Amino acid sequence: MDYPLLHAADMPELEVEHFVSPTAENPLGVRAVGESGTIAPPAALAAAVEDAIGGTVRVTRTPLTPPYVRALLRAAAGA
Amino acid sequence: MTERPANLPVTITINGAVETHDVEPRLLLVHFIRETAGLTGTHVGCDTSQCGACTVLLDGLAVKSCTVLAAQADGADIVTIEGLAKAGVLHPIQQGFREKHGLQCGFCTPGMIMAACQLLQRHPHPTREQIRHQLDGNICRCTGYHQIVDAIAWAADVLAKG
Amino acid sequence: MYPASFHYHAPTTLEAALALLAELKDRARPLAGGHSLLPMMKLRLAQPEHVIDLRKLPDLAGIRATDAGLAIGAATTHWQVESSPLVAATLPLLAEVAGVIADPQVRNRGTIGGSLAHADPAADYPASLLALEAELVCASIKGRRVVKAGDWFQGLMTTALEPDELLVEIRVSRPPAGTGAAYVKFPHPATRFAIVGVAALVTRDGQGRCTRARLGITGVGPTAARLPGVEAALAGTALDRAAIEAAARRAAEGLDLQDDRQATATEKAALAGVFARRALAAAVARSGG
Repeated sequence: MDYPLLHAADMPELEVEHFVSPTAENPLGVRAVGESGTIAPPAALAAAVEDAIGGTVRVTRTPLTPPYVRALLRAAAGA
Repeated sequence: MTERPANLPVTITINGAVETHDVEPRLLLVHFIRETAGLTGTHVGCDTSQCGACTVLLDGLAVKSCTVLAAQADGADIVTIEGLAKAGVLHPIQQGFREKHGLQCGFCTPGMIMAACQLLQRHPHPTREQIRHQLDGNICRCTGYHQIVDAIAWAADVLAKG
Repeated sequence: MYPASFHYHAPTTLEAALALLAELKDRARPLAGGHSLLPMMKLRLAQPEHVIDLRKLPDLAGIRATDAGLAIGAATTHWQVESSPLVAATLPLLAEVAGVIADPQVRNRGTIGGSLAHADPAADYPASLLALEAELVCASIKGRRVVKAGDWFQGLMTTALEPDELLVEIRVSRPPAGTGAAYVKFPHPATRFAIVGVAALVTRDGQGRCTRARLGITGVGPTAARLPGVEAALAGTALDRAAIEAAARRAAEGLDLQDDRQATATEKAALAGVFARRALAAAVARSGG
């Protein structure tokens, strides 16, 4: 019950662009993408938070809950 | 408890059809709609009154039918997703979801559409931001909401033109 | 999940409802909008033997003007308060509060009386009703009594309501001329309950000085509470930025702040200060004088 699922007002307006690179392996040129795009974001978010708090403290896990981020800020202030 | 609670007769009009049944007091309206009346377009999503997949109109107001007892709806007029199309013609909101690809798996869609019915009745010319805020009671895990907002905005235009 | 079995009653008069409560006391729970009680029953956290549905009681819902301000029937829904022209004209703070409770579907069913009787520590109404010094009218077969909001919230989800009583009406007085009011809420991203919410009313005289300040806070303690330190610090000030910041620094005074999963007591004290400042800034911007 604590996990924040995004509601409509939490999402920004989106513009979708397609970057097309067909494969020669099939007549339609289509590629399977699945959900591979979900792999990088946690690492990207962790890196962004590390950078934002000055680069002196490593983020070692997600989720980046408010208590964890506040603990990181305290650690950075102390470092 | 010493004796089993008595069932009670409940009469609920759904999409214009009168349904009268003896039910346990604890029967939820969503289960009356789905199991007693056999209308399974209304969905049970979360069990915690958050997701809105169970949204129907009760006497014109959008409500989460999982958080209403059937007994509380005795005498009421309910509209579910099945009640929107007339003589095979889709309601403009349904048509909007088709035109603008406002769904993927479709599980949240009936609740979204019923919430949109109230939204457009209260705000006939909504901004996209207003649409998003009025969908606060409906969660979608597939679409990211963008095309749901497109669908409702499309329907608003159609309904405004009359 | 669905609730455990219960006996269901739908009395058609207040007298009948009160007679049932007198007989059953805490074996029964009254049911208004059901959006606090039914979720608990579906999780089996509440398993009342008897449920007394209030839906057929006449005159339990509705908003009327009084000499002092407003009388709101306990079964009035959040949507009714949010959309009422009378509330907008008399006490727009209440419409602002009602409009940020949960979501549109919940607001169509949830009631002010249900919210106050349930007394969730993170509910939105308690902070503003404390700041408004509202009066809560309770009825039983013995008669009626009036409980001041300041005496209503007694502990975690515990109120002054007796087991044989029904909350029937909430009375609020129009604030003095020259008052600005605001409710600022930091909603939990998942539950939408207030991690912290502060209601502020400030009254300014013709010279712009503070003649009266009332603040209520929700979300950070076992009950909603006033902010006496902030109120005292604002008296007689020019309500400029420095005065507001100085007052906000006293937000944690008198509050029962404990560490929990959401935040430490220190973090809660900080949140109280930040949101007191924001509520005051908004209230002052809306004040006359």
